[in-house]
Amino acid sequence: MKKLLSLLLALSLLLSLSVCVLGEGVSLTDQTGRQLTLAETPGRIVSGYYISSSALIALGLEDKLVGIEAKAGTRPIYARSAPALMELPSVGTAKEFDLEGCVALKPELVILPAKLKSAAETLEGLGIPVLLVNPESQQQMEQMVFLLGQATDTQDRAEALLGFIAGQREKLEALLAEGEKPRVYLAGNSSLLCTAGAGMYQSDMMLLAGGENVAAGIADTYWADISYEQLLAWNPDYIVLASDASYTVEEVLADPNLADCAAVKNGNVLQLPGDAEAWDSPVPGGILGSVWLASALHPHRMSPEDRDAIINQFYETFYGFRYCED
Amino acid sequence: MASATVRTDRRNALLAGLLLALLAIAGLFVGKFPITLEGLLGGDDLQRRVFLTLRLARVAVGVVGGFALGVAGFVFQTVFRNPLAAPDVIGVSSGASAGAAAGILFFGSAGAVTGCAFSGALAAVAAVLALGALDPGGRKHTIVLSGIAIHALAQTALMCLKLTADPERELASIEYWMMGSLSNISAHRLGGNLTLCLLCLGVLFALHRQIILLSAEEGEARMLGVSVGRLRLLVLMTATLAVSAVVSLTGLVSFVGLLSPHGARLLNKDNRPGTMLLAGLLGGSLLCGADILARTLGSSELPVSIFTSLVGAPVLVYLAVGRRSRV
Amino acid sequence: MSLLEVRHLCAGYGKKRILEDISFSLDPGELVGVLGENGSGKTTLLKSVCGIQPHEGACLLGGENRESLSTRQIARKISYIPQRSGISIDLSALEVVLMGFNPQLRLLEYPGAAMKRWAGQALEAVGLGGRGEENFQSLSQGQQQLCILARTLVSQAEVLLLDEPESALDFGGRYRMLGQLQNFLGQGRGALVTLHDPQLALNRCHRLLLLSGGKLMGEIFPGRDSVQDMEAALEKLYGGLSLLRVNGQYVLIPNAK
Repeated sequence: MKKLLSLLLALSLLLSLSVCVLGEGVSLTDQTGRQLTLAETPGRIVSGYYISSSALIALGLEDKLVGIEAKAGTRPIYARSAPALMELPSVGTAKEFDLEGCVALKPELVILPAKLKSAAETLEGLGIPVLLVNPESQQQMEQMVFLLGQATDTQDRAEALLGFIAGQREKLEALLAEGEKPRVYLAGNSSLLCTAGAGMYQSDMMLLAGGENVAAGIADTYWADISYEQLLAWNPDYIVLASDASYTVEEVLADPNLADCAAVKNGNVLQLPGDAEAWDSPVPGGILGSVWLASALHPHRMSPEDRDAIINQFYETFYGFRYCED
Repeated sequence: MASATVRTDRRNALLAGLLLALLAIAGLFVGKFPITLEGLLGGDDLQRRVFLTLRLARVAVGVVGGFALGVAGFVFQTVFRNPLAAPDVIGVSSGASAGAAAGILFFGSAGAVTGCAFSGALAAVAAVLALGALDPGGRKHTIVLSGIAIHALAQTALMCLKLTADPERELASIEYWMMGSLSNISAHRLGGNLTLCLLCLGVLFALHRQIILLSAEEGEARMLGVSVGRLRLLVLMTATLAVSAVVSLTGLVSFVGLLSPHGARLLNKDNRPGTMLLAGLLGGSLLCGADILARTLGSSELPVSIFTSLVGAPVLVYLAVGRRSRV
Repeated sequence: MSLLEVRHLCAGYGKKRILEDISFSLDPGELVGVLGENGSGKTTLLKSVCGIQPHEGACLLGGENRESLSTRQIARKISYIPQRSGISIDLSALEVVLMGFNPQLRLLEYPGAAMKRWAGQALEAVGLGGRGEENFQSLSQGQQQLCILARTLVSQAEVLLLDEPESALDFGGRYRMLGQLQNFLGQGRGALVTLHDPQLALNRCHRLLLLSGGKLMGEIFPGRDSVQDMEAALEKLYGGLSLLRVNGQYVLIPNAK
């Protein structure tokens, strides 16, 4: 209880510095330090980043979205939660942003990743308010949710979402405080020999799930390439494949170079489910990655039924569908 | 009685051979998995398996691959009479890159990427030589021009593939492949490539005399009885096969094919059989040395091309400035 | 039969015609010189006979049409010395001479000890004895030409085609070189040599072909023709000059204008 209180306090302190409500309009500081002012609650929103799009659905704003990031058709969360979004016009990717297309949608608020700072400046020049987000860590993702709640006048939903996440985090910490922590290797999407070091979001996810990241010695803040030798030297108890891996669990189990690895010998090679969202990235539902992994690593403390109950509760409450894991 | 120059050649080759052997042995005992002599001899099964399937394989590719790149570079520079010629000139690198990108995008497994890279390299070179054959005179600059054209086409294909690649997954893999790395080499995937490479090297050494003849001006070579067009084709194809076999395994390793022959020529001061051998030995040493650095300097695997350039270029400058010899 | 017979040779680059209807033959034991001013087509003539320059007309080697022979067969019958050697890499002088054995060697065969000795002797014969290990590129142009001549000396070809082989040699060297060539020809070989210096040609060649504007203007036989006839023929090529015979040698001096 105390922890929850202090958490909420800290959050509100942090955020009180970035929000100022002046009469009718709202003045905010976004996640790159830019200031923006919204005269009224936006009714037409464009989201150029899959993480902010997901957050907007969770905040109940799918009807106000008029433009979305590219390749929305490939993300299962839209199909399950808000299929209408897949029909929305695409405004491009972080690499190639469609400025004109975005302006043509007459948005009253545009949400973009921090990489698109220059596009943001151009849009501002045309009188369109832009909120830049940078959800690289759990904390930054939560701050983004808060900012979006402020900008769209959905603070209640935002608080509920953040509360749920904080609650789950507390539960996990309490559940897994003592006991052994199995050694886990997280394999990236592009290749088995690609992993996340200590500075990355995925590493925190593993820690929260009661596991030890074998790659904690790597300080890179981006995916790092390693060799088979390195993997064998670490000898993890579990190998976890990222949700969108381009290879399969069967291929890893059959890889002759890994025959001596503990995880392979014991058949402890799993893949993070991705049939709603990729939980190994900082999406609002990212905490479920830790929940799922905790259940895989410590089945006695978190049973599959408990796990499914939590996941279903999350998606039913915030996304309006039953996850129904099999 | 061996003259002074022949003795210098032999001495250089011996020293280079020694360097290569030392680096290879060092490479066998350096890496992320702890392997020691005691462990190997004392019957530690795991160490032995890792040593044989991973460590040994990796060093073998460093030695043979680097050797092949050095020899191929020598062959290209001699046949094209151009000190700046490298195997890239007739499309091997760009073809292999485009092939590898396609493999990464459409297949994903390491074996598939190797196969696609090899096919891409061969396709590019076949296209260049076919275009070159359209010129009945079989002139050398036709091959170079075809090489430029195919290189441009392959680069276009590569750019299109990169555009459709997912920046979060495949694009990074493609870029990493193009920087070269020996990190995911294992004994299971080696056999065919290394055998092909060694075969081609054998052919090239047997044809050494012909390669030297090809360095003369075309009319002169023809009047010495050399079927210039056909021989050039044979020699270039063989050298290219060897390079393709290496590059499809390691990705693009820059500069080895360019620096090693120059280094060999500067040390030997001419182009006897000893010089082609020396170019190979220097190439093998460069790649082995660079790979040792690539796998130990960082906490993760670094691309090997960073080190081939970093180590090779200053050495070359020292040799060139210190000795002022001609190519 | 003639070693070499050229019939109605015409050659050019693109639309430009360099040689028109050239016909002549070369017999065993003959040293035939080709004289002409710059641009008269001397080099083109030799290259056409070799087959490395496209041309019309026929070249017969010992009665056989050159077109029907393979590259290797041609190289066994003709030895060609270009004006400047196109060797672009560092090689020892001995290696350059050893190149001359290529037509006799198989693809993967290497010259044996006997051939190496022979090459060394050829270098000695041209005055480069003991310098076999030196870098060809660091020799003077005249020495490079002698080295290429040595390469020709080891070939077993019957027809020798030399393009201004004396141009980089000094005064005495030129005469020595052509004298050596004469001896080398013996009974069985013939040589066609393009020369710049008509006086040298008169004193060392059995026969001279005079080339002007791409056409064969005339043929003179030093030692057989009269001085007046030769002078008249040469004047057609070089303008006013005086030809004298002094102490059994020819002296040629252009007239003062």
